[in-house]
Amino acid sequence: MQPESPHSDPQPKDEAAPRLFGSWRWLYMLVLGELALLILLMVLFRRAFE
Amino acid sequence: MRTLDWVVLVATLLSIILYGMWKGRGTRDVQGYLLADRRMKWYVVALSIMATQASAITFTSTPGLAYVDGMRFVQFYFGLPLAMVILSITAVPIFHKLGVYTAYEYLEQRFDLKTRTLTSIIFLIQRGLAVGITIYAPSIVLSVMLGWDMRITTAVIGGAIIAYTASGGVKSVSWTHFQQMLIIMSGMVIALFVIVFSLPEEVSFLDALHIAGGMGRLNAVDFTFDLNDRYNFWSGLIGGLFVALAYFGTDQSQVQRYLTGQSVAQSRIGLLFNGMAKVPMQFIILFIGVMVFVFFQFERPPIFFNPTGLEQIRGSQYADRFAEVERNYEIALREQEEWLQEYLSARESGDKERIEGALRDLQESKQYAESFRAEALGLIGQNGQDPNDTNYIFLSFVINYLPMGLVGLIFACIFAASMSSTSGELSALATCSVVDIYKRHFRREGDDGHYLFVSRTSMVLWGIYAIAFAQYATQLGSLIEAVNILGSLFYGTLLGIFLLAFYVKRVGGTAVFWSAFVGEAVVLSCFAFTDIAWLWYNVIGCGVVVGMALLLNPLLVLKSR
Repeated sequence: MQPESPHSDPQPKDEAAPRLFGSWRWLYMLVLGELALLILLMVLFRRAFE
Repeated sequence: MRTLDWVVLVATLLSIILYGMWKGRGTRDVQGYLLADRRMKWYVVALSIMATQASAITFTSTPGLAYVDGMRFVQFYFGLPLAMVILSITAVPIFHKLGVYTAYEYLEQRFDLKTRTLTSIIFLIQRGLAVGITIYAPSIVLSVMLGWDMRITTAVIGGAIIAYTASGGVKSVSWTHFQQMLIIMSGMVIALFVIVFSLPEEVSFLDALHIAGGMGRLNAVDFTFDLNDRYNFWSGLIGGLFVALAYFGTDQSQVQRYLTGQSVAQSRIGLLFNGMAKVPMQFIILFIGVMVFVFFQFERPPIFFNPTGLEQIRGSQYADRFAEVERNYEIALREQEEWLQEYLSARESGDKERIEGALRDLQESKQYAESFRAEALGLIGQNGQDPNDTNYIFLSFVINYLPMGLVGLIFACIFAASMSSTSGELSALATCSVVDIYKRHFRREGDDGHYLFVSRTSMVLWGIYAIAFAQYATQLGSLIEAVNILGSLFYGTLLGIFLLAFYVKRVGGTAVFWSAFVGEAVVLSCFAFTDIAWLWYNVIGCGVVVGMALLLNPLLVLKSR
């Protein structure tokens, strides 16, 4: 028997995002936004004390 | 180490072993043993992922790196959050949906058996070498600092790991990871506070930051694009993204961590939490090193932080020259201390011009002192010793300056880190050996009890192998970097195979299989015949495998018609 193609439904239905974040997209934005914020803070941190 | 330190160290190690055995009790089938019944919550998945990545060297070497080179190493992790998002969208739902035990099992479903077997073997070779190093590398440092025979250190770490991994399998591994990460994080935060409070009374935290910044140790972000510079914003974001995609998406020691998640959502949140916590965690560890650097501006540091290495050079043919360099270093440090006092007094006065002048003088005096340290390291190298003492800087500070009890806790953190990364690797090696090799090629029709027995045996055998490797690899110091390079020789190929599997539907197994060989040949040629930095092998290997498969596939399709 051929295995089912993993590409037929890459987003299974049972994966609701935590209610706090609304959707997965928001959670992904949060992760990337945090990275951007951290980089900005590190730049400011460096400038403030060098 | 004093009695209280020993009590803290032994109690912590015992608690890890007992907790692991207790959490893994009642494991009676293969799914429970190799995937913790897929019932782990996101917070266990998250800390298990972080604990597997964080080896003992992370906690011994990283603060030392910040002491010597500042905080720029943090940029290496900038690509990681991006990789976590990509893997959460693609790899996690696919692996969960197919219910695989290993990442390579998916490749058989997507391509064919030969591609699965090839990638499994690549993983076993690469990770098999790494697991020995994971125990061996911190053992050298711990043995020197604790004065233990290295065989005892490796046996203690390895024996403890085998005790709970073999009994409870991945369930024990995941829960002990959770516990170990909590111990490590709390130990590091406490250490940071104690270091800051160990600075002289007249030095405020702001003064400490200005001293660190003035001496170039707060260089966390650098936007200069330079292919030869290993750590800048661009290499961290692009190179780091490829490394993180390969490590978390194709390396079974990490894939196994999120395969234990209760659902797609739990695994995803675990990965995303890692994406959010990793950069701040590395920042804190590096910042500890920066504060140790500031501490040693007021307390005279040794010219070389490896005590055994110092004894060796003092008893060598270079002893007289070395003693002279040490004397000059002492004089230069005394001069530097005077300029440091002048800088602090200038800061107190608030006179901007005076502050800038004092900072310039301080920087020059620091460079002058560093020139003697560089000369000393050169002599140590000439004597045939390893002149790199980065791994010893933080532990030297811990042993000589931290209060009783905290020394034991920091050593417990380092042992815990060594155990966490090794146990993650052992469980992945055992799973891959049993599921991808034994069960697929040697005995396809066995009952669950048989595979559970084979999995347990495999876990013990890989553990014994790791200890043996560490016990007898006495000349491995210079090979540690070689093993890291060895890893990057294969990661690009693995990543290319998985990218094709996830994103290019029309490519078949045979094209991928042969492209993997071509990709590997190109990477090996780059290694043998060019000066390209090894971090870029991941990008090259991946690019060649993907490009070659896309070219080869239509030809193979035509031929088959």
